[in-house]
Amino acid sequence: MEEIATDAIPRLIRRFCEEILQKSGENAEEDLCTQAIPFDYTPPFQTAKPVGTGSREVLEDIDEELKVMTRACNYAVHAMVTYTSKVLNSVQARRNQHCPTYRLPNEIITTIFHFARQCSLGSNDELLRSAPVNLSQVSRWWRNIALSIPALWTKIDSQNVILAELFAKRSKNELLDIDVNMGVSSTTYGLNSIRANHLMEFLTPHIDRWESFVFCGNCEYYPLDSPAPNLQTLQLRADWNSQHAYFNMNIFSNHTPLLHNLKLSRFYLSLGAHLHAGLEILHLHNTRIFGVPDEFAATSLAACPLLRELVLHDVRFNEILDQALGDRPVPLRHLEVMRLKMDDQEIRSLIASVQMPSSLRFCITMDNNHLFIIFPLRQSLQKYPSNIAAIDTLSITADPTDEAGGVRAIGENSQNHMSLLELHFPEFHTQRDGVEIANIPAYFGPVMTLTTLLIHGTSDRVIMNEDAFNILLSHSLALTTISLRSVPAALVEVLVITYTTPYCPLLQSLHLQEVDLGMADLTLRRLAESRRHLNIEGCRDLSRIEISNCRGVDEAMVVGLRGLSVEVIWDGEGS
Amino acid sequence: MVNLVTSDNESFTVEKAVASRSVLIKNMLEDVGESDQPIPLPNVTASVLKKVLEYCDHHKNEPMPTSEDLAAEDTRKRTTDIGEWDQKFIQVDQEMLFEIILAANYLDIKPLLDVGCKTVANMIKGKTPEEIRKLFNIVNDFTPEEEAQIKKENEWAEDR
Repeated sequence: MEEIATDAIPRLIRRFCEEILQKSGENAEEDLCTQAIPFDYTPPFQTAKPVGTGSREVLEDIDEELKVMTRACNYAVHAMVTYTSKVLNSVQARRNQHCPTYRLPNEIITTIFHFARQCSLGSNDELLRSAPVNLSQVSRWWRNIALSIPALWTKIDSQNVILAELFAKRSKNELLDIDVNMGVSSTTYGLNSIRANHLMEFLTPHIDRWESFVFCGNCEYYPLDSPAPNLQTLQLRADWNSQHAYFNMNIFSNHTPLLHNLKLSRFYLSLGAHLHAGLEILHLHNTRIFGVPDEFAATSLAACPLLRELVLHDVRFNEILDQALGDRPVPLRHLEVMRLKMDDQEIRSLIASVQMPSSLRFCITMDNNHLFIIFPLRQSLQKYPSNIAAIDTLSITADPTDEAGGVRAIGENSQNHMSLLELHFPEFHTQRDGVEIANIPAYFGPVMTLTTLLIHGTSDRVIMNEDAFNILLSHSLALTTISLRSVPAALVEVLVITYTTPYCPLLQSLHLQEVDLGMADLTLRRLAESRRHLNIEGCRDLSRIEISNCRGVDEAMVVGLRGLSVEVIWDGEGS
Repeated sequence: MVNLVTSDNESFTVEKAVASRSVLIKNMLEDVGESDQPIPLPNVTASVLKKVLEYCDHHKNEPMPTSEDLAAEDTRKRTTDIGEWDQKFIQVDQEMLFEIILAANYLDIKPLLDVGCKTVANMIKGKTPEEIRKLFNIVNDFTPEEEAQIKKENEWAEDR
């Protein structure tokens, strides 16, 4: 049979090709399959009996003929289809050899594939995310290359999760980067449940290859109790129902020697939970901790001596024990950033329980929080975070791009430009939060000495009124430089030294931007005059005023100021 | 100055700093020492070398990537960003693009090779297999068995 097929079919195809080539000029585009094929069939088995004899023997003969003919025809179709598809494949492959891309060597195609995969990561576009699959379905050569690069198949995310088994297999021994969102919504609940089950079924046998596991879904259902020796990043968000999940105390059998990044969201966390000695980044969001802040510091944080970044957002503790404050603060020598968004008393309790490095960037989201509770004046000086003492510059700025109207107060050290204290007021309210900010020098006065102050509002967001500014200046005696942008002119008035406002006697430089001085045209002159101390001990003369884009300033005013020995830089000069 | 001779026998005289962006030429110059002998480049045509030298001239003052840099580089995590000038430079037809990639590979100019590969990757980005085939004038040459496997992969994906 095979011999007949390999002999007859190639000859048949060759004859068709020759015929088509000969007629190519005439009917090149004609669909040959629509042509009628003449039928001439002589049965191979001839019966001697005439038609209509009703002989059982004849019927049996013809049945046999039909059976044999069916097998022969089926084989002929099979042989023809197999041969012709191989012929076509061969010609297609030969054609592809002459395509410009096929001139590139395998290693260059490999590099292109790596870049193509990189392009697709982090995108929500379904086609982008399935880059390895798409690349492997272009042609045989591309498929062979794609399947020979295990690193191409290491990222398993929500878009290709259905192919997790395929990716796990094709990635061979490479480490896996898993980022899957199986979060619940009313429409996807059932589907995601099935998907999550399948995913874990395929992935848990490869747990020793997990390098990063980011999972949002039902975190309690999967025990994850095998060691994960290569796991570096673990992010779990318990997003399955309205309840928080309990964090598995023995997750990965507590064997994750390389884990340095742990982020948990919506969990109940016991103080006995292991938080791994090598941890450098710890984020807890919307988490309930069974214990008090100083216990948390003494057990959990003390177990992470290499911690560089600590973020606690919407974290609640069981209770606060004020009397236990800071008995034996836990040293976190490597801590670079601490971001807190919690209840005032919990923040106070926590910061008193840890010993922070002086270079720490300490950030608090002020969501109805009060500095006088976080840093009570009765607290002894040693309880202030040690980084506060290095602050000499306070910048209070409204972010014009923040639609929610947020304002940040940032305390910096001007010599090394290190941001040491950041207070973020996400929903800033001038009357409430302006006073809170104005009191910063008062709260930190015992340890902090401000020399530079910037208040930069926007046209539609007033950061501070004159009453708050009075409070701020009354606790900032060492200020030498003030920059005001988009503030009420009344703030400039406060800077005029009077009997009741004898503020910042060391002020030497004032920068005003976008301040409407139209109704207070004499203010600047009175300010400069009041700050000519004529070498009074402990005072400095105002020596420089920079004016940018301010209404109500004219040549005469500038000349008058210069007459008082003040260097004036005015952007309206000569215009 | 260095004299380079292309496969179509055209001569290019360029600054040593420009020619030395190619590790191949740099090594040749170091091996040969001071010499007026032209350097033959049998795998590069004049039109391609002209483009390559334009790239080398623009980047001649930038530090060369060291072998340590290259060893530490993980292809899997390299950025796919292309500088503004490089983007304009590489806006050529497909045939020239592949020629530049091949020349960069032959001449061992890693940054240019990366620009070429990233450009091709960006062309592929977001395209289906059929669109990629059309883009590069490739035809589907899968065997029926491979087609069946691919069909299965796609069915899984469509089941989502």
